[in-house]
Amino acid sequence: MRQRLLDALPADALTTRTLPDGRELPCAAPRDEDQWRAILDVARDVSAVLLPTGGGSRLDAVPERVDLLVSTAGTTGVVAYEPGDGTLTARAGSRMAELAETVRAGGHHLTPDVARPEAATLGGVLSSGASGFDRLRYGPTRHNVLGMRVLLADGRVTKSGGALVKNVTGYDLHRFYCGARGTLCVVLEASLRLAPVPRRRLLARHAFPGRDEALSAAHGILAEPVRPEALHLRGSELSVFLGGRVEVVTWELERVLAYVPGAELVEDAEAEAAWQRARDGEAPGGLALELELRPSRLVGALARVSDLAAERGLVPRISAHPGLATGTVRFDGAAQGRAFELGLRTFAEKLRGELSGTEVVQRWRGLPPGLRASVPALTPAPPAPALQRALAQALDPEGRFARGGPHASA
Amino acid sequence: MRGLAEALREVVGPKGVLDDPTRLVPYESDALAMLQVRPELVVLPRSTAETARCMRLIQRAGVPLVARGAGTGLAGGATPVAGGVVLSTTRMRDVLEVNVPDRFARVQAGVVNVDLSHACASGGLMYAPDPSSQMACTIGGNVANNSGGPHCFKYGATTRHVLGLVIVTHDGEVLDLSQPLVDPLGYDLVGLFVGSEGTFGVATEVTVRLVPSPPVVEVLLAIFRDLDAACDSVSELIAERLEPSALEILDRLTIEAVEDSVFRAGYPKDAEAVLLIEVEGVEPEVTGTSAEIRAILERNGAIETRTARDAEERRKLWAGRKGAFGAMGRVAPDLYVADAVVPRTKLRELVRSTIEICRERGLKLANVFHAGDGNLHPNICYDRRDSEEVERVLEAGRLILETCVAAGGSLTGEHGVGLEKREEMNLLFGADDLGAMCAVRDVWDPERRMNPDKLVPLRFCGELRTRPVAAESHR
Repeated sequence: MRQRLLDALPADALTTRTLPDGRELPCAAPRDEDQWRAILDVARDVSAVLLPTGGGSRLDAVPERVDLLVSTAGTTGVVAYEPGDGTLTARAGSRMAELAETVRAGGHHLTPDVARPEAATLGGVLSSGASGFDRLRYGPTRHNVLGMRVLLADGRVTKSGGALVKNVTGYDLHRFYCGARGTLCVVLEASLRLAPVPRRRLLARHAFPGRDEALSAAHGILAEPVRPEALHLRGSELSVFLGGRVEVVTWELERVLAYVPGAELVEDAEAEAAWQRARDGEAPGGLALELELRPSRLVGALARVSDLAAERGLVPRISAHPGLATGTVRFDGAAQGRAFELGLRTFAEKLRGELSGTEVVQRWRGLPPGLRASVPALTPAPPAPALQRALAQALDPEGRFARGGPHASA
Repeated sequence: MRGLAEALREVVGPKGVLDDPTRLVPYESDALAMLQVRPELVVLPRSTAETARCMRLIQRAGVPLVARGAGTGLAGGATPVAGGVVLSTTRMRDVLEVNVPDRFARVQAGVVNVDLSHACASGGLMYAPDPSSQMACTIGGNVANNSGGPHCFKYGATTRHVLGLVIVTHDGEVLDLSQPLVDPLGYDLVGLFVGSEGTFGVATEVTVRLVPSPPVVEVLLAIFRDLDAACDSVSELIAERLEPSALEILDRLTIEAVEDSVFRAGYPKDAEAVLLIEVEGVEPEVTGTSAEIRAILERNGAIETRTARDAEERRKLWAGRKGAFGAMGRVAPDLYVADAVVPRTKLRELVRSTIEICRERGLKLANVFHAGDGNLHPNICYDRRDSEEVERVLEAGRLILETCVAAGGSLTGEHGVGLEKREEMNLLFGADDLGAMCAVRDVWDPERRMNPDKLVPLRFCGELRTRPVAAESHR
């Protein structure tokens, strides 16, 4: 395979990457669509299994059978930024930070504003389905994707949607590809809807005596007619990021201060820096449990997480977005070893039993190998599994793109 | 067919099956009245369970199936072109749950759009997508077509508001995707289903996101001496990144029709165009945004900008806009409502093109459209009894779409492809693009009985594999 790939690609477009688990895999980074097609031809001839990758931030969980990494690192650049229309079309390997800078010059905010944007690529973000730190204001990533060009497993390059803010022409396949984790296609190019850069940004930050008081304040703020860009809880510290018209931020701050009297106020560049720190603190990595649930269940769920962890001598770091009803429980830096794993296993079992039902999602990241068999990475299981499998099979009948392991969608 | 009708009656009761030819007439088309085909029978289930049983019986009979809400669609999506059975959701009208703390509602598919908003109003919440047909159209139909409406400028189309679905598939399987989760588990099946125009299955229950009703709302009416200036105002508002909640343009012919109808709104009849703008939010947001908008309107030549004084005046101004299609009935017996989308930087030139295309063909054109989204609605007046005029209308419609696509636009912003724009899909998509769509469609409906002949040009999905239907069922 290596020789055939070298025949099809420039020499520096084929490298070798060492994965965190020690495996060494060839990695191809095509520069144009002909090269992408050529790789698929080779892969088909030798029955190779490919794993599309962007910035490579999720390579800590590569499925068992992967023969070749295909990287969008050579597929970069802005195709079109239309300031007058508020849309951006860019190639998948473009770094989010560069794209954000490009559109900021025209007064636009690039959403999703994801962690470590200097490393994250557009294609990687869309394939992972990850939303940004700015989700409370601008919505989940999939809502802002207007169209895509993708490479299918058989080498065809196809498109859906377009670069228009409103468009219902044809099936929304780009919504389907968003979050598919590279199991259906390689995203080559995507169009996004942009938001205006807020004219003023201000952070009101306050450390409460406990998490319950912070959450209570958060819910009070959310019941007011204020629209924070983000509302973030870390431990018992609540950060309210306001942004918008100057006079509106002033008005909103007054309402916010009713719930967080004595909050520390941070403006302008300092507020941006605080935003970036909080955002980058959400980068995937390490051992973590992500929770998604209904807003009304957040307070109780986080309290149970704390209690159950404490009973087992675990000291997780808990953060949450109360406006989105998502929480992250991090165990990184915790003592490893058999006792820790045992405690974690019983914690996970107990929590699964207590927060059961289909309305609470529990997603583990970075589980130690010893726990992967006993702790399900995702509960509840995705619905309609037969349909999900059939859809993947229809677009990739030969299983060209890796589907197993934590990358699996179905 | 008689056997199928009897079997369906056992499921849905005697009132739930229509097969008397006279009672089938309303189901011959949706609001695109140019093409009418009578279905062989209509079934009206009352629940997901009944729908599933009906779907199994219909599959066994091997006949085509067209799901239908209120039939207000404008692209022929609910026209049973291959005959067979129409499944109407209009007896599934229950609001099942309004959850104020968690801001979602769960409704049966046949709930009328405006009734959902009424149901959640007491909790200070609303359902944002508001198609002009919202007094009649159903949430299930909105899901099938990914419907829009004036306020989608701020809130986005239906797909951004659907959190979950219960779907009955072609063979009667019930897929429960109804949990209002933050993100999809696995592939985004809900996002894929919304806008699939009845070709994937029948949605019987819909879970939707509700949003807080805005504390302050202001409606501005800007009056222009020419349509170009109204278009330029909108392009500049977008370029300046201002965020009103709706931006709608009505041209002179539309204004006259509205003012002569029961929807009379107080639009000045001597204006060449009016721009209806809604700004909402907290008080300083509305005040500040409105002031900047007024300055742009003035700069672009608005001769006057009025602010609605109270809720009643706001209601009237919107009633005129939403009643515009109905009001056009005074101008001509039939109306062909086109639905192209264009980049918002090119509003002026493309609106002009539509005017020119219709003028060259001697057709009367009224423009009323969602300018803020670049979603044009050139409304061509005609009389369906005049076959030569119908030909000219269709030709103009095709040319308008071609022009918009050539300028970077698209075929439909909110009405869907349906039957009307099926062949024009070739303007926008190549064989491989359409092939991928067909591959996905075949997973949902391997027998290709679900709303056949719609959305994707026929040759890309191959021959219909359904049984031929009785010839006498067609007109």
